[in-house]
Amino acid sequence: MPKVQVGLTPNISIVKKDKIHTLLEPGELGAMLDWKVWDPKSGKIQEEVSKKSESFVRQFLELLFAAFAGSVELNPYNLRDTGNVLRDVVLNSITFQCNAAVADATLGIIVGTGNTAPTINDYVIETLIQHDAAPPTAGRLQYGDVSFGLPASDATTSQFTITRNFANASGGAITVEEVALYVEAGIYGTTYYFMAIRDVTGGINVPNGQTLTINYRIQGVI
Amino acid sequence: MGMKAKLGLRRFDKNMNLLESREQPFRSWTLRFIQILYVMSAEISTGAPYNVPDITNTNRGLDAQKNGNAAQRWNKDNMVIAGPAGGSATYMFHGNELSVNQIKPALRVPGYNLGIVVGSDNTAAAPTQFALGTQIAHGEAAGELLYGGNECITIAFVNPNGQFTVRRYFTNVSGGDVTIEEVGIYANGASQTIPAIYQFCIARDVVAPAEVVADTEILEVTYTVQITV
Repeated sequence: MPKVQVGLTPNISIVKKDKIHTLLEPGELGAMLDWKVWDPKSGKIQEEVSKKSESFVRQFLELLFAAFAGSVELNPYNLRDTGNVLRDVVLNSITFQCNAAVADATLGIIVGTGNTAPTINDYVIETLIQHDAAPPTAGRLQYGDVSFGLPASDATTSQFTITRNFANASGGAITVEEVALYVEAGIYGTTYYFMAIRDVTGGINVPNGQTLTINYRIQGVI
Repeated sequence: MGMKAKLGLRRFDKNMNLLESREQPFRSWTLRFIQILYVMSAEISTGAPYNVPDITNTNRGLDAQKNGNAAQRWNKDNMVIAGPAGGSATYMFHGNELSVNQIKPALRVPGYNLGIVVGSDNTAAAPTQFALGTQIAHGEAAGELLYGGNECITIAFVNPNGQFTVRRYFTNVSGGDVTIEEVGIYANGASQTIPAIYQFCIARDVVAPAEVVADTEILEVTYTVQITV
């Protein structure tokens, strides 16, 4: 069995001003979705893709609305969480947080095996790939922690990066068909989870012993 | 795709009869928007705040750390753009008011520094924009406009689209014409370390051609923010 570890240090750093890559249109705020399948022992890259994220879903717009409006407890905003329950939320410290810890498959970048095209009303990933705790289990991936690349800009594009590693020690290949970003919001004392982005990938093959690194690069383009 | 926006301008006479209506694509979410969203997403801590230039071009260390006691309610007013009219003010929270710094006048944010703002500079927008080129002041003197309240309204979804609107009215009682050449959005950022609340330019667009608002006229400015899956 290959030795694969979660919590691998993501390969991110301050983005160089001449290195920002975007497929977004002028005036658009969105994300680039990058992934890399690589061997943690040799560093050899099997697959590397950068594409435009196609699917900010309604919860992103709803949480931005609640933040812009400064929603308060006397007049909270109501939206659907990843458990398909409508929840009251207000703007507070946790709005949009997605800094998940190792093994947390409820927050941050999430992966799954569903390939149904996204709709604006999607509130949860179609078929979650669960975190693979010891002993290794077929069909599961080890979720690393979520890390962040600092904001930067060039002449037209501003961005910051959200990164997560998924290590495959399951004993077999796993195909990742969907990627999502889960974020937090809530009211004092209660945290809920909401899906802000969901993308279908066309299939990312992650062989046993390999690691999948996923970046969402949140961008604004002038 | 991601999120886009349209900038709408409607001009009315003093009886709210529509004189002109126009629309242009919105182009310019700035680096400040990305930076505040980063602070929120990464839960930047009070011990290591993240510096963002405010509308005076002064770096302010922002954070999104929550404070747990019941009185503080996890308050942290990052990204708020809704605000009161003109020189009226509203309290905004950096998150630790009760244990570090009681409610104080410095936490009151005037309406003209929040939400949609207008100006008279037509320099092209850039990601590193920290403020309008030349903001038109709130007031009744020559060259000034009265800023109404800033609203966030009418969120709606019909697959594959969703949208909401940000709206503000500007009234000219200055006695002469006022020319609008730029529009932007100012948002709050919370600095518990300092502790204080500051404003940041998260969007700016040049209005082309310029919009002339005559004495006694009212200008409605809207941003319609949209996503499409």
